[in-house]
Amino acid sequence: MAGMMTEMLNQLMQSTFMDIAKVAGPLEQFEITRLIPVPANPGAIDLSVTNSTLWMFIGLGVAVLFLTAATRRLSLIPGGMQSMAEMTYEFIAKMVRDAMGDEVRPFFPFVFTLFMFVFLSNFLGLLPTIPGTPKGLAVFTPTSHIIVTFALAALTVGLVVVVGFVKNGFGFLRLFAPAGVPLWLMPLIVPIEIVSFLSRPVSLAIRLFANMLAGHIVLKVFAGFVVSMLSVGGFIGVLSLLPMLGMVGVFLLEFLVAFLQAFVFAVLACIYLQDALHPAH
Amino acid sequence: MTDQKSPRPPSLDELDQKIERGREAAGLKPVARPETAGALGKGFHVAIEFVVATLMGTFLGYLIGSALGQEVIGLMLGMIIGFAAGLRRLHTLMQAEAQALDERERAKHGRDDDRDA
Repeated sequence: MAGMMTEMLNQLMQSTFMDIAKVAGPLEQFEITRLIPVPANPGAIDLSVTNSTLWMFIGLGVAVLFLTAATRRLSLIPGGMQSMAEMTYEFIAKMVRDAMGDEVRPFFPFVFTLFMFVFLSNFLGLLPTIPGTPKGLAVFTPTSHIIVTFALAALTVGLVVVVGFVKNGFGFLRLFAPAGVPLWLMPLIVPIEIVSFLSRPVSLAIRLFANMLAGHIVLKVFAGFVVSMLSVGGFIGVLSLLPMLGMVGVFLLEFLVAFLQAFVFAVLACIYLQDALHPAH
Repeated sequence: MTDQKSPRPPSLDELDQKIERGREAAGLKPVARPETAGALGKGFHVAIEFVVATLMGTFLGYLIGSALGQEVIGLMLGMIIGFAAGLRRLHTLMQAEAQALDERERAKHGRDDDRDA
């Protein structure tokens, strides 16, 4: 029995299925690969199409396809796809209503898009890569790069500033001068409030990026344990089932984190937008 | 013996609405917080807010200080302001958390009252 199991494990180690796990370290999955290099870069900006760009477009494509297919044939009694789309819509709509009230309905499309993009970027990165896929086309999580999350956060806070000035004019600056603070304390409070405001996009970006990065590293480390123990063979090889079970657990947790982080990102975007509408606090 | 709940008197509903409007006008309307985030998630959230605010203050202080030719003083002042901004963020988060908790408690007791009625 034990001999048969060892034989099976050896066969598994030699299969192409294990190739990806054998060659890649925990951080290799985050490597940016240029798929379509653009030779003439204006200044320091590299406009090449990379694996990160590809997966962002795949996420976008999945969202567009899903919502188009779900709303193509609308019926009073919804089918599976329509129900899922309606549930997603209702979920975000309720969140926006709870966090911001009815007056901010115009921002719903922005928050919905933000949620879908972040969720699909997080979620699609959890799919396993098909063995034999070229390195540049392997599954990639765009939100595991701080520049992507920071761009989303900066876009959100930029929108807050624009909306704040459009709706309140210079009254938006009351955001930096809390009500009830004596005038002599203002020189101290205003810089504190400005630093607090400027730290928002950074903390928003770091939270999402750190969660995605850490989760994927942990998954890969567990996968590394499985492969290393299998390569030793014998009883140790059989024990590789333990990190394998751990991987399943971490994967489920990561699925929850993928959703939760998208939700947190969208909720915080709503809260910041509410500040833009009511700067006095 | 019946499972049917007696409807709330209209006056109570009106009062609820008035209180809600008042809270909203006073800027006390609680914001939706992810209920599923556990203590670890909250701790992580708070830690990031505090550390980022402190670092941001330090960085800005250094930047302004370098522009004025006083890097060290700028950095020190920036660090102090950043630390204060971090505490301010924590205070805001804790306030929101306390409000949300308060809201949940009120909602829970409201339901209990309905059941008793």
